Amino acid sequence: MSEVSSRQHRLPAIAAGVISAVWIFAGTYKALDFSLFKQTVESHGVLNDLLMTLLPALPAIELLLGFSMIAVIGHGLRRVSLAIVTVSFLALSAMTIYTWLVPTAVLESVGCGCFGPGFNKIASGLGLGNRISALAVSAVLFILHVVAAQGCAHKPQPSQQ
Amino acid sequence: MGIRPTLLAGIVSALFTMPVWGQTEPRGALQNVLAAHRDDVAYEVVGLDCRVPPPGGAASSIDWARVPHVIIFEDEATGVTYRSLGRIRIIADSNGALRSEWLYLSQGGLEQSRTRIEILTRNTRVQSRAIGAPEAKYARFEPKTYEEQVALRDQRHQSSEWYRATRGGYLELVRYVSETLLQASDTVLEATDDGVVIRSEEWGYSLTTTPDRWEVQRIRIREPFDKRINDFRFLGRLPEPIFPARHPRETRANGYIEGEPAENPPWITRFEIARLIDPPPAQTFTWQSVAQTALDEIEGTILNREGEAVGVREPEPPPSERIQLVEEASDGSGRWVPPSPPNTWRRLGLAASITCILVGAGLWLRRKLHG
Repeated sequence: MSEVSSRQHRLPAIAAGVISAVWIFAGTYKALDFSLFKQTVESHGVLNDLLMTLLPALPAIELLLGFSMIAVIGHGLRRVSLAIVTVSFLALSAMTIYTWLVPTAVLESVGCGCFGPGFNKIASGLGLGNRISALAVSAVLFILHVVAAQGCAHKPQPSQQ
Repeated sequence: MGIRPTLLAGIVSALFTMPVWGQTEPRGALQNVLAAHRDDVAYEVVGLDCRVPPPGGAASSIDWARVPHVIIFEDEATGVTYRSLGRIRIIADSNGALRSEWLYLSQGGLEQSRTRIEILTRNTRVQSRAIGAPEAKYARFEPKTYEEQVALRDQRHQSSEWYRATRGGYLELVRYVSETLLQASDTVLEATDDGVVIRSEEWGYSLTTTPDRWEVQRIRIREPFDKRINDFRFLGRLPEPIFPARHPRETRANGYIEGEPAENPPWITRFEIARLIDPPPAQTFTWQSVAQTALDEIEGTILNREGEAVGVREPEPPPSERIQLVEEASDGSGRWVPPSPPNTWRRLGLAASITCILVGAGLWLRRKLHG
């Protein structure tokens, strides 16, 4: 029984850890080469000028989300944890919808900009289109969010002395 | 369906002003062409800008068949495959103001964000890269007389009239060339199997028309002091008489050196709509309709929506004064070399390393905070 409850406790933490790493990696890559990221988003032609002015805040938001998840989830602050997972889930949904709005040909040409051009190279090397790989990553992350959210619903186990 | 009053007025007016049919004197023929291409009508023209993307570059990696709204077709005349890269819409009023919108079909997103705008009046020009852009470019100028246009041509400069003719579509080009030929001293007319060709060697312009409707089939323009020819062919006609000449169904524009084959396939514009409209509101032809602010290119000032100067913009330095971005060579030789392009894999590795460090730091902090 204790093994099962330990796994129940550990899986959401692992899921949250993976999501955190993805957010931090995405934020770091965008911050490192922001001009390239901006060019990519501009070539998508989806955002209007007002939203383009807010673009520099995106890497910081992604890093903040990543750190928040690492810091809080699985440590008893259930409401705060659930709020962070929900914000992360909404942010992921917004990005998935955004990717859906980019025409396929443009997406295949310049990539989604999520993780930089290296991600596109990996995606094309696997013979997968950027559209499919971006959707696959989103799907995996959505599942991880559900797992992480389950952890927020469980009370943390008291540590065995 | 009744005939629109503006159309009726245009036709009646043109009939009264048209010289006698069959006149073979060049000036009479040009007056016929101008009478058939009146610019005191409000009209709208919509078409597809079709091109052959150059080999290589980003365009070659695009799977065009999957881009929505882009039409791919093989041109029968050249056997070349074209793609409709943009949708053109020209709106004009009866006072010489016209607004040209070019919607990028190969991009996604909001239409207003991917619509390039140019507004031309008799003495202003507005350019904006999108509808609702933060800043448009705005310029005022004085219309040039024929003599001033000759002087500019002799200095190898382009007049605002020439610019307008090349950007304003069929009607503007026909009127500009006709008016120039009308004032040139060496204009001659030749009858050919296709109609009549009116040309001036001094200007290097020629215009082919037919004496039935005086619609223009072809315009050839030789650039001053150059052998380069800009060749415009106007094929087919849309049904509605609007100028009252009918608008061509297709325009083929090409550039080549006299006596040599064209370097590139022609640039094709296929028109779907050409119709008379009610006069658009004056606001349609102002920069305020497309941008939040405007850069006055002549004064170098930033204008707010009320037209007041709220800032100053230093003009861009000429190319000779621009600084070449360089970096010191890594071999310690003290040489300055152009910066190397960013290495994707190096950046990926760097980002991954930073991520590992940040995640590690986060986990360490988490352990510290929560025990």
